[in-house]
Amino acid sequence: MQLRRSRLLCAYPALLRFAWKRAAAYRAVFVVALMNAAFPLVMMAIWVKLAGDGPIADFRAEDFVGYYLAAVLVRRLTAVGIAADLERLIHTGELSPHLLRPLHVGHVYLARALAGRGFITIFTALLVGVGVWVTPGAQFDLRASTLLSFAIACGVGLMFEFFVQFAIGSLAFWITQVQGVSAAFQFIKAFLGGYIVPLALFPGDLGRWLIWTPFPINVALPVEILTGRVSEEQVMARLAVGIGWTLLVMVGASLIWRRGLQAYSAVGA
Amino acid sequence: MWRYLRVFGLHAQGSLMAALEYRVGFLTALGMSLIDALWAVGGAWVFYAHRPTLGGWRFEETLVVVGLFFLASGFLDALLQPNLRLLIERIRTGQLDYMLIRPLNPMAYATMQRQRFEKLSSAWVGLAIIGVALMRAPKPPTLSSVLSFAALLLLALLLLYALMALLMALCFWAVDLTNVEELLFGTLETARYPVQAFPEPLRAVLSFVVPIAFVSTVPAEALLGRPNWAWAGYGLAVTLGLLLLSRLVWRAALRQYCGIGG
Repeated sequence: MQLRRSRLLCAYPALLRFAWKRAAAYRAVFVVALMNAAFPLVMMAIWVKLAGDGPIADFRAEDFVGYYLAAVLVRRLTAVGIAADLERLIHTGELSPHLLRPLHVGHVYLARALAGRGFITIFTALLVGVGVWVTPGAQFDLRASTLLSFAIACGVGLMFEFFVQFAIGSLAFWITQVQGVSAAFQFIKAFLGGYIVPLALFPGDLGRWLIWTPFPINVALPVEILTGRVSEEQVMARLAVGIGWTLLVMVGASLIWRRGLQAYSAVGA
Repeated sequence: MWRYLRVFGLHAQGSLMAALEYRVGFLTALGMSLIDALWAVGGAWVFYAHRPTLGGWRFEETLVVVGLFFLASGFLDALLQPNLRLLIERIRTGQLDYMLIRPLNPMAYATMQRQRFEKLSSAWVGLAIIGVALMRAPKPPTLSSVLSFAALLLLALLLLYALMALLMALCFWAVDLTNVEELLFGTLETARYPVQAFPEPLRAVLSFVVPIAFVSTVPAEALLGRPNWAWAGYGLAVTLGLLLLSRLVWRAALRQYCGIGG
């Protein structure tokens, strides 16, 4: 039995409040997420030195600073960390009481993913802002229309990441090494999705092909919008690609979840 | 010394048997290390697609540094890091008392408690990368460069050991050191590439203040037949200093420690 759509909206304020308090209680996770920034910043430092001899593609040294600082910020804005949680829920049988509620577990996790952006995100945003401000020549495109498409792109990136992680976490109904699968996906997405290397710098046409894959939705697209590297008609096309992939993953995730529930026999249930 | 080796052997045997209970874990760890290595090699490859050298290093020379980074991080993750987790847990629960009554040096004993051998996969991947890099090099390394490489690699591992022992001693004062730990591992990320590839203030910091360059750049230079002994001597001094410091901090930590359940 599931709640009707109108009742569901009433449940969200409570869900979000609970998720927010829970996130505030486990701050250590934030730190781990913050340190994910180490490798991109290493790459940034090396690019800055390389660009000292003249621009690389159309990136000058200060463009690298802007790009990677934007990437660190976007990563904070669109990161989701529910796969491991979901795995634990399924493997320990803690899922069973959730199934008794008239509310899909997905909503609990969506609230958690949405509330996962608190104090640390604001702090990161301030640091990134100061970093861009003090670097001569580095700048973000802060026109209202750009900021609007940036916000939309971040939203799409967040939802994409949420459904991907929900799908991967649901694999725990069958396999034990979910964290391995999840980490492998994160690695591949970070490399092919613009977090480690800007897509435009991949040799040959590789970068132009990658635009059509799901990897850049989470980081590269918002970053390129914020640093003013995407023209307006391109923004529409690439957002459409992102939304398309997100819907596809959403359908896939709910199919996996439904099949998984049929396979589920909790210990103690 | 002999006694410590035997105790280490016993604990290692126990950890290995525990790890063998979950054999898929070995495959997963190997897969993770391979993907991580692809990441680092891929990053280097993109640099070289735009520039012929990176701070004076050619592609296959940089690969030696990348391999050394994985060798070092496999060592850290497999042999040292599990002991940190365990020590935090034991200080919190008061179980540390049972370790202190043994007739062994507490610092040495606390750093040989638990190993996660599946995480050594990074070290194997690192060795493989170094092997491939040397095969692509114009001439094979001489015996003397291999020997100085081995000595400097040992120095690098000792440096990591000293840093971890120091970090463990700090756990006696602060329960949650996640921030410091992440900072250490975050800084270690810079060892992925040669220190000369970094822009100036950062290069000096990594060479002299936070001596991360000794973990990968310095042994790699020795293996490529251009050792920098003055710099290596500085590294030796830093490592010995850190080892001494960690012993002193451990002693101070144990003096103020009073078991919770004791």
